[in-house]
Amino acid sequence: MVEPYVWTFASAEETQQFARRLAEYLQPGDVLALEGDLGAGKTTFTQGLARGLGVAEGVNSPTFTIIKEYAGRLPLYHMDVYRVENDADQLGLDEYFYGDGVSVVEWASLIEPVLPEERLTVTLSVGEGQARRCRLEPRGRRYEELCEEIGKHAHFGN
Amino acid sequence: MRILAIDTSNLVLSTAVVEEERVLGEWTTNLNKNHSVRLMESISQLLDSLDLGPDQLDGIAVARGPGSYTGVRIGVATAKTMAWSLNIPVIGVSSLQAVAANAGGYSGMIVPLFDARRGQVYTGGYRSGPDMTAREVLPERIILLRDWLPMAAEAAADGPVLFLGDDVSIHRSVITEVLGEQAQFAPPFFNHPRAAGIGWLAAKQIGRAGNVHQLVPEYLQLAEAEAKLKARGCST
Repeated sequence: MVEPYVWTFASAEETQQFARRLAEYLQPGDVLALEGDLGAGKTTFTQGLARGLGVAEGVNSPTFTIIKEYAGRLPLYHMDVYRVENDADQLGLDEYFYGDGVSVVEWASLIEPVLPEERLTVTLSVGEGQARRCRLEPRGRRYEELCEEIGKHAHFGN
Repeated sequence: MRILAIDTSNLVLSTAVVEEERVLGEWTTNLNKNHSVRLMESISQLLDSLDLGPDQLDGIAVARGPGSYTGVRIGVATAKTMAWSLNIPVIGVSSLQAVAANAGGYSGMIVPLFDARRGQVYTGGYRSGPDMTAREVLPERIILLRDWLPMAAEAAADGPVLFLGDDVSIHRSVITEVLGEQAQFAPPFFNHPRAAGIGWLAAKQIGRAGNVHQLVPEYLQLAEAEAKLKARGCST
């Protein structure tokens, strides 16, 4: 079976470049669930995405702050829910998910029950050497269309 | 007795200073703007225009939710901080009851609701008491609107049900579909909470205010741990 939405990148720069292009297609209320082991490039990916959204500020991991908000073409809500697993429903995350910006959730699978049904899961994994693999898994019509669009126009990586 | 009342629990930012028999001043906006930036400014402008200092307040009233988690926290944290530092009592009032209070005197069932996303609403059923206070007759909850409407209709017997809240407009077609002519809708100025009403509701209970630290936000969501505990049949 062909997996239509898989990319391989040779470097961290390529990952960022891809994320930057992806950002151009994002709309208010989009939710990206970001998966991948430590070092797979989740924060690198988000930094590229932030640049694509026109965020001027430097983006770093929100591990301890849980949520960071950045101003860009659209607001970017960058979350790391690694530490909130059991309290996720106390945070009021829906205000971000259904808000005016783009939500990026690192370790999203840990809070599966509170995620919106429709979302784009981005799974990053380490390949040979510096190579990174990126898999996009759309859920819901909005994200299927988004992936088609990216597949059509995004010429980078391999 | 003079009470400063605050509501930041939803889109509305409302502040008021009330006495038992009189509303001295009220400031309300209904915009998606940063409550955390604007709340203190609103309080200070209101007090300034009334020539009042914080030391002339005898209590603080706050809408304690349900609503936006962030919004509820801004209001409750501010109210508790002020009450603690001024050493005066603080009273939490339900954000839903604050909206229901707008329809005091209505003879049917009063149903305030806030959209809670994913088809759900924060809501409850109220009836107007002899003193025009809206009394809770169906406990507040978060529920799928589709599940809630038949319950509200049944509790109202054949009587009319008045839906209140700015989010009613999002759900109006479903409400009409289920309740038909039993459903009534209010003019816009009934739909948002007013701090003056919150102050008035709080004034009735201020004698029973507990320790400042006892006031907690009301999110109307079960924490996952609580939900699991209940599913196992334990009481909390």
